[in-house]
Amino acid sequence: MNDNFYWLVVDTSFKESLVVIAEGENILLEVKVIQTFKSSENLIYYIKYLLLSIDMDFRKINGIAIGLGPGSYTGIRIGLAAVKGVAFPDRIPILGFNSFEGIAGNGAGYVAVPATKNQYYLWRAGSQECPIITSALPDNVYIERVGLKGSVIVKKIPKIIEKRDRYISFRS
Amino acid sequence: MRFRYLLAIESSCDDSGIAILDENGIVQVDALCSFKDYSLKLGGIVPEIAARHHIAIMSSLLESVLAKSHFSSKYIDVIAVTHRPGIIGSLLVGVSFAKGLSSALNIPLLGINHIEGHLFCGYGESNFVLPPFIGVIVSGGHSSIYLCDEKYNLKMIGDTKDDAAGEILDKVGRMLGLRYPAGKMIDYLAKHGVENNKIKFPNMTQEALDYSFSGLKTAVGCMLDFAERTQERFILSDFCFEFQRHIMREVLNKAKIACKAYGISKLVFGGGVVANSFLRQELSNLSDLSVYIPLLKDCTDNAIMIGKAAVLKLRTGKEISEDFFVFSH
Ligand SMILES: Nc1ncnc2c1ncn2[C@@H]1O[C@H](COP(=O)(O)OP(=O)(O)O)[C@@H](O)[C@H]1O
Repeated sequence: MNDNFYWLVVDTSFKESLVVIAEGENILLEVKVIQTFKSSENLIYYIKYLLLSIDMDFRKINGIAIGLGPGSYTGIRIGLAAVKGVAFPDRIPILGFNSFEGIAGNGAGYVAVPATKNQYYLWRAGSQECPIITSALPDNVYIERVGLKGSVIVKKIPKIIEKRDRYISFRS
Repeated sequence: MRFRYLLAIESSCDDSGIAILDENGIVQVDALCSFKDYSLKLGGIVPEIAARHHIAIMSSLLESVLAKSHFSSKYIDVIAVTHRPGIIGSLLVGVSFAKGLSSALNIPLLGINHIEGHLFCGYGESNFVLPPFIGVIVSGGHSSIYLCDEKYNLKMIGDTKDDAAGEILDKVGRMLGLRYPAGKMIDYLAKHGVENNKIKFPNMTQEALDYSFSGLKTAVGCMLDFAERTQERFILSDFCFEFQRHIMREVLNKAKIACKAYGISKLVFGGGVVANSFLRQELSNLSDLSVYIPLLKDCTDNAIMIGKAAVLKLRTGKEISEDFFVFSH
């Protein structure tokens, strides 16, 4: 069953939206979409084409994971409303996750997401607290850069997929 | 385009609505979930809260509509959703949900202008006014006049320069110590009031077809200030009577001017303020114009009117596109 369980993972909390399509634990496709003001409204069409490119469609998806921030309220709402629409016809279960936890994946000590004025939202992986705003970064941080130039791709999904069993049981 | 059933979604302000209509614009089922109670508690609409309500309720609202009608989502051949004008955060929820749903179901999606919804909500009913007509929208967010041509194209010919008619009722209501939204209460109090020529309001602008209500708001503020300082008393219901009459006459006046200017004798009204009993009375007294006003229950925002506008658009072969965005105006 693991092999045929298809995940759609979407995170629209940050300026760079993340779309991952995975089969069991295998990531089939991981794409970062730089969101402009208006293009985020059509993200769901973009995802549809991504699925088509690997011979899939929404109906084949078995589970959806969606980033619930902390992050842009508007971004999160667009993402969440869109996947709720996608999930509706086949009652695909939706699972929300902490976006910073998503970035942290396995093994990150801290996660830093650029804020304004050379500052960062800094979050200690695994902590129950909210991210803080700071300009001083500790060592070993994963930097989630916003912007086209020098984007650092961080592996982030495994953690979500690791918890797969729990989520599958929620489905039955 | 031919279809069996159309699903309409409305989320432009603080009401979430979903309706299913058939090809002839006949309503099969509809549901409306209003957050007005929350807005009431907060003294107005808080966009962030409204948006969160929409997102929390949307799936279950659709679920309830389908359950009520024993439909499955597979019967739906096309979706229509309000994409302008309204509160951006609220619109985004409905539009994103609709885009996701239509993508999953692989069916076309139609973006509908809320104003078209208000003006075409009589479509499919026997008393629907055929174009060309003059359309007037008076609600909490709008006071505008439109010209609708034979092909159902709307052109705005008048707008408010400042506050909307409903907004001014609400704001003045607040000055009088009434709860938000005050329109209904003013209407109620006015029924118990009588003419009082001591209460006078300034005449409003005569130019063009644009409304302007903010001067009136200032005048009321000054009047109340003055009354407080001089300990002058007036009866609240009389005040409401005069104030309501003043605003509604202005609303009506501009509508009549528009009809005359464009040589049109048909008038369609829409929006929350059309619930006002004085305005309805005055409108039904107009003998030289044929007037369409929505039923009392249809005055607030709902998904039925969005569905009707969509059916009309599909009927008249209007160009449709899935690639639309939300706009506040
Ligand atoms: N009976 C009434 N008389 C006058 N105004 C009313 C009445 N009922 C509601 N209103 C006004 O209608 C407005 C709400 O209408 P609605 O169409 O929901 O507006 P919007 O969605 O643009 O806020 C409010 O400003 C309210 O005061």
